[in-house]
Amino acid sequence: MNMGFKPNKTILLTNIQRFSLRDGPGIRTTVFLKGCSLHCPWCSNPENIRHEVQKYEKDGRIGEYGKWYSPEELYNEVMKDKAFYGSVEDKERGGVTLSGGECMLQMVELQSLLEKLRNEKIHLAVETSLYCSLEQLHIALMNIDLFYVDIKILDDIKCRDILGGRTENFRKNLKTVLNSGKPVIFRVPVIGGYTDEKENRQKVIDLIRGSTLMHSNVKKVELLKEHNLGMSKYRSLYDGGNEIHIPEYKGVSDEIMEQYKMEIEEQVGCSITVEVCRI
Amino acid sequence: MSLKTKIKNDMWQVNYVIPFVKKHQFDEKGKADMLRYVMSAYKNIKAVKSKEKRTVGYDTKALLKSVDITLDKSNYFVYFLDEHKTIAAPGNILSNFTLDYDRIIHGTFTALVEKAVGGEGVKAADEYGQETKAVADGIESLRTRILKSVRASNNTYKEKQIEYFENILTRPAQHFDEALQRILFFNQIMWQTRHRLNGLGRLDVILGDLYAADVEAGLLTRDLASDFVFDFLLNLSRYPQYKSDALEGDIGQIIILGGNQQDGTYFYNDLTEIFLTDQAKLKKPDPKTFLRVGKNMPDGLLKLAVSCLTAKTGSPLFSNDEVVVPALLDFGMSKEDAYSYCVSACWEPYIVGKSLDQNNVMVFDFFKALDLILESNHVYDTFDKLLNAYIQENERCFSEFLKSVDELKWAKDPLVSIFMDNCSEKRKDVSEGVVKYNNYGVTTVALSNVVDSLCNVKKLVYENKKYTLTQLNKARTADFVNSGTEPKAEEMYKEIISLQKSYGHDDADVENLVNCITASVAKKAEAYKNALGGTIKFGLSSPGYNILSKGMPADLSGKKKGKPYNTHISCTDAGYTEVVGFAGNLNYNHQRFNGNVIDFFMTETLIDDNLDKFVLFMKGAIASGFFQMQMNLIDSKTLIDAKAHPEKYKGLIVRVWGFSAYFNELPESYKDLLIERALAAEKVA
Repeated sequence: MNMGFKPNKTILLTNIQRFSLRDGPGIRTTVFLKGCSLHCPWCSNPENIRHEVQKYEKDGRIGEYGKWYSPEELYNEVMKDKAFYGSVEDKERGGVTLSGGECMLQMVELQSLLEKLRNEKIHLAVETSLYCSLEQLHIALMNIDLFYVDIKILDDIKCRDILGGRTENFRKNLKTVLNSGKPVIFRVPVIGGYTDEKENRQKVIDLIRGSTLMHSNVKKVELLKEHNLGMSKYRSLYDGGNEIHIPEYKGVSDEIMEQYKMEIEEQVGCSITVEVCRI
Repeated sequence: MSLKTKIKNDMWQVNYVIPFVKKHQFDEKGKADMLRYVMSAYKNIKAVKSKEKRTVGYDTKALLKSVDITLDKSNYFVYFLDEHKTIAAPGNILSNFTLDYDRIIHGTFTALVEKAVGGEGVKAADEYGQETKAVADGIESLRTRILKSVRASNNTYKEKQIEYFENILTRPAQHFDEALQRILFFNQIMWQTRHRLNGLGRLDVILGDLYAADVEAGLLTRDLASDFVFDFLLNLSRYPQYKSDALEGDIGQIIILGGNQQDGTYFYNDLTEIFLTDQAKLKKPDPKTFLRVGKNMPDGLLKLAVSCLTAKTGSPLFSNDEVVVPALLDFGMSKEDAYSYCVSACWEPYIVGKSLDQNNVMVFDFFKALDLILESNHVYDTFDKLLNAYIQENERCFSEFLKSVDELKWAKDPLVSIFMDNCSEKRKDVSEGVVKYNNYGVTTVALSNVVDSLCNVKKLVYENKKYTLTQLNKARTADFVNSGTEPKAEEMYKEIISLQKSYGHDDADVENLVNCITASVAKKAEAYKNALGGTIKFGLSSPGYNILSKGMPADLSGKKKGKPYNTHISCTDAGYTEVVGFAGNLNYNHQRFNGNVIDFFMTETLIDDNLDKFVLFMKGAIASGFFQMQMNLIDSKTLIDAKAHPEKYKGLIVRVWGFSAYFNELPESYKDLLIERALAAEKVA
């Protein structure tokens, strides 16, 4: 059936996670797109960093991370769970969340799919670090209903050296998203030795405070506690012969998490919900 | 005729031992242990024979006249079993169904007996009438002796008990608790007379009016009703060892709740909620609840049912009326029957009061035919030719299998006949095929293993052309262990398990393959007539997945020799909605409705933290068209620790087949399988 999509397999992804309960309202299908603009040392989805198909060996199984999809193929996959997304009348309407890697990098390729899903009233969300181009961001703003925005390292130099990103790019894009009025949920990874230091915490709090003061569309802040669930994926890539740096997690205490939550609540004000997420 | 069938059909002494043998066969402790167990069980139980006449009716009478009466002072209800006496009558006793309790709640047992013993124009002395009379005399004798004992007792609820037992046979029940006592009385008689897997029926429907009338009259509150129900369930949960069939917990006291109605509305009442909640509160593997769900049911009830799952008793099992009822109508059932369906002990649809249907008579193994095809070493130049060969061989295996089903005979059952349509009218026992439905049901195993094997062969042999079918088969026969003749067996195994599973993923090709295989069996099933004039139904979930597989070699799905087949409708690498989507695209018409259960593993926190999302999930699942669904709420960590330290987990209950059991009581291979599945579920969640 031709649905008006271009037939080319232009979208590269590693996983289509159905029955996803943490990536937005209702029941969702989360699409993990492959390729990222940053290289966070703590990344829990290392298979999504490079924009190319990579081999792996894991638990005695062999395979490849990454598969190319045409928009139509991806449409058919995400629509398989339409019955579970509910309807506009439902209190918590589910839908599709794009994650990664950095999903914004493939916005041009995703555009026709997103337009179709939007026309069919499927709720759409992205999980993004906002390190992307203006063109990519504009496509997202035209189609996406909810933005999960990561706030990582806000010091210009550290951001450049550790993550490979320009904070200026992030701040500019965030402003654009906030000005659009689309709902935003901040996700703050709290990583020992990288993002949990007092100085960075304060910069993050200042950013959240500034955003909530000026905009009413910041709905929530989620503090994500460091975890090492991505280790087996690192090892599988490493064993496959690729030079992948395996992170050494320093750990973050529950006390720091609670303290961070309190700091945000105190400085930003009670109007914002702060949630500590542990996996 | 197989020895097993002959024993079941004719020889009471050995037949009587069968449940104990069966129980021990699953226990995996070895033959000597089994013999010791059977001997000790046998030594403690006396078969009571009638001195008047050796028939089922007279033996029932003799038994009920002699059972010891046990009263419990503080128990609101009277309920007991004499575990040391049993019926001596020979034969394969009908079981795995539910008595029509409505007839002795809104009607009277006396009236049923009068009709059976002989009304106008019927010879009172015919055999059917005599047998009924003997059973009725036995029941009356039991009632009188109970009454006498209660009168002589200092029971806390003596007055109520006297009132209810004075009228238990002769007047319709007047009150809610009186009706519960009545069900308990006949349930105990069923167990005492060696009927196994005794269900309880649609109790919210049957008891709804008495509950409402008592509330209206100010005699009952919802809380008090809940107390009664809790006591009722507690009584039923007693004697688990005596009542269990295969494994401890396999008791089958299933309570059917809710359900779609002919007018398109959904039926439920306060009792639906009370039974769900109290069963969860009881925290026992049995009795268990079975909730009929539909698209018009209220979200609140769905939410309550989902929250009851967190009690971790394995209940309720969800049955989707949007799919089950149409399958029953397609079978030719009347609307009245289809919309009032109950189930046999686990999940097999059954019409109370109108069915002899024995829905779990045997287990069919889908893998046998594939094993034969692979063993033949025939070369098939296309996948379609291989598939056709399998389908033909499987049809032949199914026809052979049906021959052994033909040999089943049933003992006379005057007690059950009293509760059935047509028996009294036609003056014939239920075992003679006079009721409306006289079908058999079989369960099946290994379809998943066959489908995964075929899909893997398609990929490795016909698409990638990496191996020949003969090469794969040689490695399979070597159980994928490298040797001089099979140096690449282990490499092949690695490749096989690296492939994604097929069965359970909502891929149209896989769904078509499943439907194609089941359609070929359905064609044979539809053509089959049993000796009683009924036919045969089958379903895709079965208790046999860990028993039949023990003697079978490796397949090409990744299962090694002797390891369990896949459980019911499940998949270790597909997510919840995916499996539901898959199940929703399978065909259940043409006699394919004998229970088709999706079996899920979930962690308790997943539901606790996302209760509202689970309501959305269930609503989506109902719309997607699953047939039935059950859930194990447990995490792998707990199971692993419970296996290592059973003393810490005495009350840990897990869902096994269509029943729940204490984890500690399970054979080791079941424990391992549950752990393996919990780990797999956590990976995909």
